[in-house]
Amino acid sequence: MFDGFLAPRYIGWMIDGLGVTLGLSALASVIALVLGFVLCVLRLSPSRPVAGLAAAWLSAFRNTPLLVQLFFWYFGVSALLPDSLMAWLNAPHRIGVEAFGAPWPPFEMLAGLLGLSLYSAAFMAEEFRAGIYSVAPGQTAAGRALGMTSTQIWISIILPQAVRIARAPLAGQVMNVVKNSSLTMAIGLAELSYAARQVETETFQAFQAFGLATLFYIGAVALIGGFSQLAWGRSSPPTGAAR
Amino acid sequence: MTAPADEPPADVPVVIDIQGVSKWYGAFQVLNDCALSVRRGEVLVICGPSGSGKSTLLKTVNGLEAFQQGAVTVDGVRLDDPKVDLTRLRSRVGMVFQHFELFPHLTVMQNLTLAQVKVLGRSQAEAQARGLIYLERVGLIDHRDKRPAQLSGGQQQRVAIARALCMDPVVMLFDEPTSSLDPEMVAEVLDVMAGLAADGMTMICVTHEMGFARRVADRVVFMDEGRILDDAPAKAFFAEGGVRSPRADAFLNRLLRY
Amino acid sequence: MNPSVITDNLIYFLVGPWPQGPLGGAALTVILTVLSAALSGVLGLVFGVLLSVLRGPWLAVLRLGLGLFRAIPVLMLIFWIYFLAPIAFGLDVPGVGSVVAALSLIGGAYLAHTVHAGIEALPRGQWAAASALGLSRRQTLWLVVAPQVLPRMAPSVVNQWIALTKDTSLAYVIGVAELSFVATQVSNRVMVYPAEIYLFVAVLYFILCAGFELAAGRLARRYRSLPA
Repeated sequence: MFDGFLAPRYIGWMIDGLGVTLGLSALASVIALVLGFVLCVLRLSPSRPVAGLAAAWLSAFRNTPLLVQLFFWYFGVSALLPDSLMAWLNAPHRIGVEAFGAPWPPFEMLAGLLGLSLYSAAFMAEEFRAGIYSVAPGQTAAGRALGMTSTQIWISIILPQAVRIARAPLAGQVMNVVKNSSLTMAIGLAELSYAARQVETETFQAFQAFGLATLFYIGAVALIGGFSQLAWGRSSPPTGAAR
Repeated sequence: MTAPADEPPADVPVVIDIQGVSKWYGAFQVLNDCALSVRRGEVLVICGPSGSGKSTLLKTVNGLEAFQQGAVTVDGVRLDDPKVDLTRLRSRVGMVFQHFELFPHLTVMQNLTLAQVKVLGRSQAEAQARGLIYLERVGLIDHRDKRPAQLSGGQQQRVAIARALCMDPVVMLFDEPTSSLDPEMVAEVLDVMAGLAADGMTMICVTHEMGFARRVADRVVFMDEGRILDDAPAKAFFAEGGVRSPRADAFLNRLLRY
Repeated sequence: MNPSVITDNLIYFLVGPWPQGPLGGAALTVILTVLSAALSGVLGLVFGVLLSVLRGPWLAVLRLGLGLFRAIPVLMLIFWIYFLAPIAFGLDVPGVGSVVAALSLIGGAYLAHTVHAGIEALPRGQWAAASALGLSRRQTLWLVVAPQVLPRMAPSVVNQWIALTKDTSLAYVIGVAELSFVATQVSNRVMVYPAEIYLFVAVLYFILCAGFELAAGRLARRYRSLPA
């Protein structure tokens, strides 16, 4: 079982899995960043109902396991949606112009992307909020004293500082997206962990399969950390437990 | 012939002896060949511009700051002697910090008894009895069960002085004890320090309070850029046209401008 | 919505096949959480203190080790322990043991940094003052540093329990019959209403986690209002 390395065919499976992991993580991170920012703005809204709803949304997504959320989107939603829509979603078609478009993703990919994005967005929203809260209150007063409007203060004083503060923790959250993407194997998405499990079942080379997958994960996380450190001179991941 | 009143006679034993001490942070020299000796009962004030190394020099006395060259002897014990129990020695050197450094999770009385019990091995009752004596002395006996955060800065600093006194120190070190106090609280702390001096405590004070130095100190040491430039009897140092280096002159003028 | 699928299987969701079979369901989730929380607390404390007192190569080794545990997915670590411990050490680690070990190691690695950050946040003057009074490093750590640092860490520790509770769901992948696993069992058996089942299970997790979140918020407010 320790003897020899994986046959090229299986290494191919693993690399395909890595590709799915990276693609899924990248897409989910972008969606989560945008959605997280919107959720943060809603959470800080002066309207009590809006802020309350946003708070409830964030709490619901942060306080339930990603695995259960994935099961809900994958098994639950497919049962709730009309059969015709499900049939359409499952049927192969192409996005975009013929010959240039990407293949239509399988349903587990859609459910996985949705689940991972919504889950991560809730954490990103909290990082944005923490960043905004840590801008010194005196800054708003200083802006007012200079005769700026609330909007001007938000756009040119608070947000630039908040983003500067939040970007390293946000990079940490992107690392969490990569790690959390491993959970989509439970709904049958053929990403890296799924591939490792497949290879292990086929070859019984558990050490090689999980070792290679672990190296890939560490590499991906280290790349994000290295980028964050190089660009902003601070190391991630966040020391907090938010994940 | 008798020595002048502000200079102790030569037969009084030396408590602290600093010889040729130099210290570097990397390439930057913070202490440059400093020499100083303090006799029992002497009150020394060290002054100088910020960054001159005065706090660093003070902290070499109880081994809180290491140094690369020279020797420090406290009450006959050389600090660089490998056989020296540094924690034991520190317990005999009282220190008062700029930011008080009381332990916020303990009451005033617990602050006073902690090291007595854990370091000197005194019983709880013995430690409390001694704590009461020194709390009385700094005028805070009614506050013994409060937490540090419930006291004013001046009160906290007086507790810190009492905490150090409980250890029966051979010398008291003061590191800018009034620098972080509101102006109206400075006097209460200086009063306690003047009282200690009057009782014959050996003291080294790093401070900018020149009024205190003039009235209470026996000797004044002026430091700049890691060097001891002046070491003179207080009277002589502060006298009009007194014996002081040009830099000390300039420093005093800046302090007294407003 | 059809509530009968929930009410019919309520006991199974809560305790699994117990008392006829082994304890499972939400009860096992709670047990996994409590065990991992306790173990990760011990590991976090030990490694956090070591991060503050070690110097040189040992510190680098510890940093690297903790960094690795924080860089790999929980799922991968569970696989490592579950599939490789028998091969590498001839140890047949049961599923529950694998999950608790993996969660404790990862939780401990995160907590170590919380402990370390808490110790570093204490003003250096506190160390100097204790040392000036003649307290040894060890005495300073236990009598002066720990009593100040530990209460302030309470909110992050409780927040950590939220992550632990959610991570126990990963026990599903190696067939440990905790809440997520029995949910899929019920869902596969009845073949209908998966949305209802997973929503209900989510609510159970939410009650546990939101309870911790509430407690963490309370603790944070309490220690913020406390004089520093």
